[in-house]
Amino acid sequence: MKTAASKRMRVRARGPVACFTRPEMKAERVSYEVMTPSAARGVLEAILWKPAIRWHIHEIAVLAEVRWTSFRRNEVNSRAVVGKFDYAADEDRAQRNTVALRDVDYLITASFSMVPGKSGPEDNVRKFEEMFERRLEKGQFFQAPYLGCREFAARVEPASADLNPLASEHRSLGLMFFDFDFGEPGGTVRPLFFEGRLDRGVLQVPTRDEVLKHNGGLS
Amino acid sequence: MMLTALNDYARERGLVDDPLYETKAVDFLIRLDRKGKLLGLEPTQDEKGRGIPMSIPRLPPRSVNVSAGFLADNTKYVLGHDPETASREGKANKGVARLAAFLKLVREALADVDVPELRAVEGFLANDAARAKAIAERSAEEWTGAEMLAFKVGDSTELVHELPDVRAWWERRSQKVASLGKKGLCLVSGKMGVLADTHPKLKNVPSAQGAGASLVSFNASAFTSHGFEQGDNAPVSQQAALGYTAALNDLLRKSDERRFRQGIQLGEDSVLVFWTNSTAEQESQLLAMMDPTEADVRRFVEAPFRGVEPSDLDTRRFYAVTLAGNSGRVAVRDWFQTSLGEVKQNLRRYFADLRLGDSAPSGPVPIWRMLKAVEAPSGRGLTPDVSTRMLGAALRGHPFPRQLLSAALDRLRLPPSDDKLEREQLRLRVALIKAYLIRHRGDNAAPLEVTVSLDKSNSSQPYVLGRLFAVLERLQGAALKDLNATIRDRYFGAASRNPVTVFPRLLQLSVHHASKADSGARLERQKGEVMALLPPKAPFPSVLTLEEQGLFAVGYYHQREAFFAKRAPSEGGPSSDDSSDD
Repeated sequence: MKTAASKRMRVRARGPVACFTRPEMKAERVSYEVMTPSAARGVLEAILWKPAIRWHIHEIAVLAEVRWTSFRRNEVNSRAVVGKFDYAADEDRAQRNTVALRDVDYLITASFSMVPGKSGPEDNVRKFEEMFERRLEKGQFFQAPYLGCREFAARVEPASADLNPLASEHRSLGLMFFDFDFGEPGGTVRPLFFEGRLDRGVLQVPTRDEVLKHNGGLS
Repeated sequence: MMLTALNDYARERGLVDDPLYETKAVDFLIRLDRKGKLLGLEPTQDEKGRGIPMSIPRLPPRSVNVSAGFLADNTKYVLGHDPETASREGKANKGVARLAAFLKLVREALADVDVPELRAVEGFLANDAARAKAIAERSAEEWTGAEMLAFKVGDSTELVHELPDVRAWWERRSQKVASLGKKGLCLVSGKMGVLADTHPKLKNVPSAQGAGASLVSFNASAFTSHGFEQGDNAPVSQQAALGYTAALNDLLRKSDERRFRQGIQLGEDSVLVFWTNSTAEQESQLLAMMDPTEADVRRFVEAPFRGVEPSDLDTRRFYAVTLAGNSGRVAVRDWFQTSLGEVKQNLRRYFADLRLGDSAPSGPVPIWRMLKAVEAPSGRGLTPDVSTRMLGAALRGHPFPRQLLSAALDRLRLPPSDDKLEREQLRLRVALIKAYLIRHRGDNAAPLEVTVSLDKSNSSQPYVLGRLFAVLERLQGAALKDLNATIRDRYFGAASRNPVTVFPRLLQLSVHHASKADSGARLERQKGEVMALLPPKAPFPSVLTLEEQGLFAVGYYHQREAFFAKRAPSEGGPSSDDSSDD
């Protein structure tokens, strides 16, 4: 059975600060130079996500020059525990540095496909496409869309036709985080990486199957 | 990207040619006879008391755990002797455990290969009296516990760990150990490899722990995700982890002239290291420009900008990273990569922007001296990231941080503390202000044109006011000679911030000064010339912005330097300086 796929949708996401944290520089954060596919997926899922659909990112285009900023913040050493409220941040503080991006502006091209077995008889691609467009137009979301870290809010809107990638941006981005391979429920989670390249301002994102192959076979 | 570039650098410069061995300074050789009897402790130190670098089996990464090297290690492991704990009571003595770990590896080797030299070492290590004798060869105060020791047996010229059979065993064992590790895709090299659990440490990063600190580490639960532990959070192969740390440690190493072989100290807690995929020669030239030593400055006078002229290597990559210690961790403060040609061009522009005054030598000024000139008199440096951003801006050709401008202006407002340094300090401060102004772009305005020396045609109000202030100061100086507090000490700050509150009064005073001074008439005329450039209706604005205050300072400096420059050729008579130029 062929899974139904939506048309490609163009979404603009921008904000004053963004940090797409590199896994190897996670304690003292350093951002990737460009938004990662999983961060882009997060932005779209914040607008619309249902168990019946799965988002695919095809392209991330850079509309603004890559610029950096750096700051220090007080963060904590422990993870939040549900149900525990007597947490004293003063006693568990970690001062961490962040090297983040400034004034980012991206054009995300993405589509979704229907997940077999998760959709009901009344679900179809067109329905979700329209739902997404409507929600995007109105600025509705399930959770505030963000740029890498929750505290860096994103402004998300439908991309107008006249937006062009910054053609002067050419660079190799090296191995970049693609997304997690969650495998079977309860199984081990595995990070996936892909070779990123910014070509005339556009990062072409490989398909998930291509990435899985590159990362050592399908799980 | 950064780790990949570092790993490539390590490979190109041959820093990790042999992942099983490393070069370390060995302080003493323990010479044994073939039966394992101690013949003596042979110092290998050179005249400066440093051990001779030798290739030894690579030491394992250590923090608080006990993990021994193979046939070469420090006193704590080889002899089980730790002078620190021996003198301090109540502290757990790990000596026994360390010695046991060291001996265990030797026995492991002996079980596989029967080398007589190895047996001698085993015999020595197992014998408490022999070890005690070795310790007794030096007096108790001399041992630090950090001496590196290796073994020699009989009259062999080769060290025990260098013997072919022993080497072969070490290689076999290392392979076996490595093959037990988890395999995965390395995000640095992009190849499948055995993943590193923990990464080797970086040494010599300011304000990091003395024993070293990690760049890639996950030492608290908040830093991990999806239940991953340690290195699994960021899969990096053991090889790549060794590569990038070897590269950074090589760049951070202390050298004879510098605290960092290829790094520049920025403030208290950070260091900028850079590297290229060009030649070492190019790198040392760039370093000499960015952070010149005294010798570099002398060379610079003979051949300015040597190495900055264009070359066919200009397309090579240039990488720079600013690292700061955060106790056990190392943080990246800033990171960028560009081409060698671009960095050279930016450096050239940096020096051009800083040039001030015709009389001053225009050699490169070390960045720390630049920053020292604008730091608070309390000696507390600027906020840590200002220096990072300052050097980053110089290398990238970006505008300078605004804090530099405000810090420089703050320093100008205070009365000078030391006359000797004063002129140089003033020059550096104003040079920074000038460079800031040239690169500053106000709201949709073109960058300011600020000249190297006095520009009589510049009718920008703050600039002219600065000049006027210098003339007034000169008038006062000519009239009253030795003064405890000049108008500069008292009024510079107010004059540059709120000209209208100060200038009318200063002008009144100056009439009085002019009548007293020898050269009063000439200076009076000069004052008139400068005043003519001001708008007649409102010559003194009530407020100047920070940037305008900067321009004021530059005008002041230019006019002041013009006085000095004029006097210099006719040093003979103080009153012989006249208005010959107009």
